[in-house]
Amino acid sequence: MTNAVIVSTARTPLAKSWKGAFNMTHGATLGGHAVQHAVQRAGIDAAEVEDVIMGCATPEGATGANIARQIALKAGLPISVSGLTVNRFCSSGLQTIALAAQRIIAGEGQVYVAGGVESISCVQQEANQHMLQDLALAKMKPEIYWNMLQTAEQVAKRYKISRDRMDEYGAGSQQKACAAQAAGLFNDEIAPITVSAGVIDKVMGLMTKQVTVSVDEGLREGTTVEAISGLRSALPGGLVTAGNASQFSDGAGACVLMDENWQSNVA
Amino acid sequence: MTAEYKIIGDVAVITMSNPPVNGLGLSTRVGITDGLTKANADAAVKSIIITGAGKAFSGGADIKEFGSSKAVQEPNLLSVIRACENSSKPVLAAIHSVAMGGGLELALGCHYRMAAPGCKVALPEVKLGLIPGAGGTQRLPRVIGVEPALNMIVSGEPINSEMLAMLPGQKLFDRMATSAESLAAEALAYAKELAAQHADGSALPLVRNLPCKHPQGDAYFQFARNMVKGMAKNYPAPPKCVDAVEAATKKKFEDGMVLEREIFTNLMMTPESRALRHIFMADRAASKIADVPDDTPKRNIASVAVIGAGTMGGGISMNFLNAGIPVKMLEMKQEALDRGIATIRKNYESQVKKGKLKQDKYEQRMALLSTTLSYDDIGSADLVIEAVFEEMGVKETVFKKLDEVMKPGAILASNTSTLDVNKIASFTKRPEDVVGMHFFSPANVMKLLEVVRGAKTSKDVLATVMALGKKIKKTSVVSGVCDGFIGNRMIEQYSRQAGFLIEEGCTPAQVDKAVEKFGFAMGPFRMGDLAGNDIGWAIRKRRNVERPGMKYSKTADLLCEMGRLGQKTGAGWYDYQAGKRDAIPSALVVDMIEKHRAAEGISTRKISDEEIVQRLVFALVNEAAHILEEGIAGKASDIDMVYLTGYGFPIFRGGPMLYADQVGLFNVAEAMKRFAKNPHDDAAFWQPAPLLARLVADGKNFN
Repeated sequence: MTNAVIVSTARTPLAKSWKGAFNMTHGATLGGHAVQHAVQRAGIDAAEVEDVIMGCATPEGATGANIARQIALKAGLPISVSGLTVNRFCSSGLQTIALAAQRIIAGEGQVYVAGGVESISCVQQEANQHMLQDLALAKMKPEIYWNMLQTAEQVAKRYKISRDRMDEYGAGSQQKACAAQAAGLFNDEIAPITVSAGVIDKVMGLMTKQVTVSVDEGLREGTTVEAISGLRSALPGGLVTAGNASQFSDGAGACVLMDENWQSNVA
Repeated sequence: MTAEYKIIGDVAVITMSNPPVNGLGLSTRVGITDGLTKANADAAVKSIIITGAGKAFSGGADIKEFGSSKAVQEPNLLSVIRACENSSKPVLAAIHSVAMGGGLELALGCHYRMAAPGCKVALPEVKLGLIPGAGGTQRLPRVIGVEPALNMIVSGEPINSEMLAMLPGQKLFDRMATSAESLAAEALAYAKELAAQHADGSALPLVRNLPCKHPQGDAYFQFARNMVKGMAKNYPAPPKCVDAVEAATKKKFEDGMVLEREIFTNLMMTPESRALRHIFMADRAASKIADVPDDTPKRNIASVAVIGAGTMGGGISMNFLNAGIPVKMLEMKQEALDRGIATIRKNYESQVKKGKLKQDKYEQRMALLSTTLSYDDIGSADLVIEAVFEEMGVKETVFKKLDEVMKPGAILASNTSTLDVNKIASFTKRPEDVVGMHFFSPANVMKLLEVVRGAKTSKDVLATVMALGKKIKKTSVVSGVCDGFIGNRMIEQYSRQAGFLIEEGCTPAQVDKAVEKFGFAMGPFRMGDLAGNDIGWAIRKRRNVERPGMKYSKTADLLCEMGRLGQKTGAGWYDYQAGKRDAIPSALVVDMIEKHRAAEGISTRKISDEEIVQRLVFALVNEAAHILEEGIAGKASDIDMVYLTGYGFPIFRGGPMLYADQVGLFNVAEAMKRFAKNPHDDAAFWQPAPLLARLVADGKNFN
């Protein structure tokens, strides 16, 4: 049995949803950018990619219609490379990497691109609500339709995770991200991207503007447990706050996986 | 007819002439279409100019026609614009000073446009809860680009013509005149040029035929919609502006016009637009007093004296300094003056820091301020405003002194918020010169000025104070003399209901949340904590002597007895953390309320948000109906202005009286009768006021 290895990764910066730089950027552009750079960094011929597997928590609208296939084309991969969109909500992207590895190990193919894309800005509020719930299922198992907030509160309750621990984790996460950014640790993984963004200009109002994004937005320098411990919970009496939950972000990331014994047919 | 027709050489000039801003009322519209017909029939005419007389091209719809059938009578604005487009001779709009709303839409219907610099250009319909209704949303994007047009339409803000002329690729102004003065001559020359240019019968350009596209329309419009929705939560019009402009980029012109009309008509029916249009009219009407004609002579106010340099005195002084009127502040002690000046400085300095005030302006204002410890120094002031402690004895001393020192003809004003202005006037030998000027705290910020008219206050004093109110940018509303005047007399009923509600089962937080959801800036309990609960305590103590029958919940007194006076003591209806203003529900207060209920034998019930809001707001309405009937307020819309500008009543609801009208007075009266049956409430109070009962019987409204 062979081993699957990750040989390259690339991602867009993460932009704040709605007011951030990707608020007008299509999922194919976000994902295409990540895949293009991951493939480039792997130094392989794009035609040798067997399949592009992309995870997406809300695969519709600007990230719909088999977004993985659109991403493959936007990334400049030849038309012969197929695309597969995977949904497992928050772990969709992780699932694609597992899936690619399994396919390599099973001997189905040797080179895969796996990753994920999300555009909360352009998708979440526009999502199709028609017959969103199966009424009988909603009765039988209402939790299936819970949102992340309700789910997080339930998890906290079930596993007795206190607000203090959540705040510590939240503040620690910010501190680590800020330290890493300051040390330039993200520079190699991020592929800067130029897009048109909707911005609120003091003089011109709501306008589109060309922006180049090369760092993650929304890192909060100097976040401490004390600073976030006073924040009001999102639900009355709840534990989840803006300080201990991840923010809404848009972005994409991809990696190239291959059989450790693979040899290019081209080179 | 309010449009003139004139031939100059071979150019026909149609001049809208409907002061003050050439509103497009029926007779103006007829004037324009008649002029176009004549000009087209006259073989000697080669081209046509449409312009405006006086201080505007046109400010748009004629507000005198608001809500009347004349506003839509043919030729309506759409037909006038159609007539411009269809003219076989070139039509040039010569624009100056003001081109807003329908005025701009009319210009966009002309074949060519020439503008003078310094002209304010806007589509301000959104401010009345509407969108432009005569093609503005479809034509403006075609001439200045989608994004600039969307911003103008969503914000309603005016932009100067020379700024618009600088937009790359703009087709709004074919040519700019060098100045407003030379516009007429330059337009005439341009019209002749256009006649020559089209002498061959070449097609006349129409804005409707210009392309309109956005390269990333889906993304941009949804971004705009998201942002606009966030910024204008309670208002339906702004996101609809986005829809209409989007239609301009995606639909054929005529289909876009149909959508614009549909949106416009729907918005016209919304309570929010009705509220905004009501406020627009109410604001203008507030300065008019039935028996004080506009031409009443006014006294000249070139200097002001303010007695008291406390929070109120300082705030009041700032209003006049801001308007360039010198102020002399008087206090008993130098320390008090020093403190007063320091507070004013701090206020201005924070404005300078925020970039809202230029340093030199700040210095100019401070230079207008002087102080004194002696009444002898203020005698020459044209107006003196007393802002001393609210106690009749203190007022007596001050006004007797003022009567001694003030020059003849000076206006003597009291900033009292509840005391009898007639009694205060009686301390002087010149009650006709005495008036109430009730500012609201912080006086330099709050828009409302209740002008209290005493029984003997002379008309010219009233007219002077109303005009002065405008000069210092206040919304001035006249109130007759009664305890609390318009605003505070009503708020007392509101506060009483808030007290009953917590006795019957609500928590303070529940009451506050319900009215805040309704749109009030702050619920009654958070408000009490901010203002200081001892204020109401003192009033209730006084009431207990004056009107012992008045029923109050004792909870507010119990709270004060616990020393919980509000934010200033770190605890009130809520708990407060040091240095923070967040209201945290208090277990101690809940406990106090529960013990009180037990002592009174009140069994609680679950009270809906709807009942909370109705009891609080309808209490205002019933008291207001009494106030109106007694002539304390001149008109219902004045009461709305008091509540909108002084008490944080939600703007989008148009004030308590308009809200009652929109709910339906029948429903309001029925609710009051229901509340009267509640044994814990005040049955006598809830008898619908006679005026309200009459209006219900006659099927009429307050407004």
